[in-house]
Amino acid sequence: MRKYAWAVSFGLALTAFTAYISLDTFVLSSAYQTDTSQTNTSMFETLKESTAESKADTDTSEAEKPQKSGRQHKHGSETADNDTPSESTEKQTVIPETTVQDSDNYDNDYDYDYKDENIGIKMTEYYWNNTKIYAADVRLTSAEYLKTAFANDTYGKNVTAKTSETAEANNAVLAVNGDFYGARESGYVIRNGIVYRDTPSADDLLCIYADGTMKVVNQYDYSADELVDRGVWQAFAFGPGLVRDGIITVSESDEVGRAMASNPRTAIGQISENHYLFVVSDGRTSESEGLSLYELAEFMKSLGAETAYNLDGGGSSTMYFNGVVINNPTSNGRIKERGVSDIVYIG
Amino acid sequence: MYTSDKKALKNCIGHICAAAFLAFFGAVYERFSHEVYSYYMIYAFAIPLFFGALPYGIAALKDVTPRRVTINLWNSGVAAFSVGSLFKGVLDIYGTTNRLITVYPTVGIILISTAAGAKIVRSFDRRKKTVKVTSCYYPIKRKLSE
Repeated sequence: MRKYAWAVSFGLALTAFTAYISLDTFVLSSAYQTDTSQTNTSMFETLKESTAESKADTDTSEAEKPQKSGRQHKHGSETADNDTPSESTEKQTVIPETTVQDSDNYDNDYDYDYKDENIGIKMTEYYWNNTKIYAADVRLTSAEYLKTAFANDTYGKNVTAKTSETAEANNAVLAVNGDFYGARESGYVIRNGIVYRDTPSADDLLCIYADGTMKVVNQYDYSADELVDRGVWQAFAFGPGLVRDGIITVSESDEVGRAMASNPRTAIGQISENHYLFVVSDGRTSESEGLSLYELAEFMKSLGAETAYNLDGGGSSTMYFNGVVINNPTSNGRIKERGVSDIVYIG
Repeated sequence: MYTSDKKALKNCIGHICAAAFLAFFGAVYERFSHEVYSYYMIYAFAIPLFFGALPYGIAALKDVTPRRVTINLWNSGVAAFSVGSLFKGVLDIYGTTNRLITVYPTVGIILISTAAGAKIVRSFDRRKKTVKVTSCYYPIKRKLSE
């Protein structure tokens, strides 16, 4: 027996350590910060100021122009009612109808499934590649309405709640699961303008800027605070980026190095400023196989996405709209919603 | 075959069994992970195969007798690496991380280095003794060999 004393002791120590690390990874929760409802909207104020300044500059230069130019302007306003400056300003505040009307790809008879003075959402269900896909076409007056929330209003590890529960608690109109930041110990977490984690990771980072644009960046190129200074309102560290500048950036064989095949997926994309796409695909069922990352990228591009990014998928993939979960989330082989760390929502 | 050979052979077979178990475990885990895979999980079996079965197989063929302490340290190191690789695979497949995962390779390196160091020191010691023995009288040589 003494002969095996070392082997038994080491075996027990290894088992105990593995049990501890398993609990630490999957079960034990720790809250790093509670009450995460505060937001930092300074970037929107800066944006408004710069817009006002540039408008003032434009007005000044217009005023300094010779009379001939002024007459032309007047003439123009006589022929085209929508060109008067006052009307134009009005339009931008009465959106989405007017903004959307100004947009190149907007149909005046656009039939929104949800509409208020700042938000327009059109839901469409597709069946493509043996997969059910739910796409929300979202148009906003400002990126301020694209928000994020943590499960149980707490930033921490293994703190989870169902997407629908977090969405309901935040009065979200539309919500999808986020990047499940709580499952990892690195990767920037910037939410509603506030930096929660500033440890970079090798994952692509999706930045949603206050000016309504979206960009995929390398985390090692900027610090989290620099990104906020540059106007980043939300940032997600999961990935990979699917589409950049209208070009698919994942190949058929390059599947994050982990997911080889069809699975439920969640993606977010941008068509133009303040015009976003939220997409969720069902998978792992006989009715819906799911998508590979490349297929997801193809789909996002086909909807006109200039930028698209893959969020946490698999059992996490959930889309909530107008108070109900509209897709079929699969968890452990059953249609069941799973708890996630965070959500992205419109509201 | 001598007792020393049997000891090395027993360890060699033990590591082959461990490699087979890891390969089976990895295959089953991958089977139910919706085609999400991890190289750490897939190739975990290679650790006991190359760091366990192979050196012990060579030792058995060359009639080398590792000491109990060296065997214990070496096997523990291989076990730490194997379990660490398997667990890293689980984390990868789940899509999560844990800073404590570095404990496995750290412990593995320390144990294997210590075992290798002990083996080298012993070999060096033995060679020195052999040199001394060759210049000694027959009775002393016989005593040492006994």
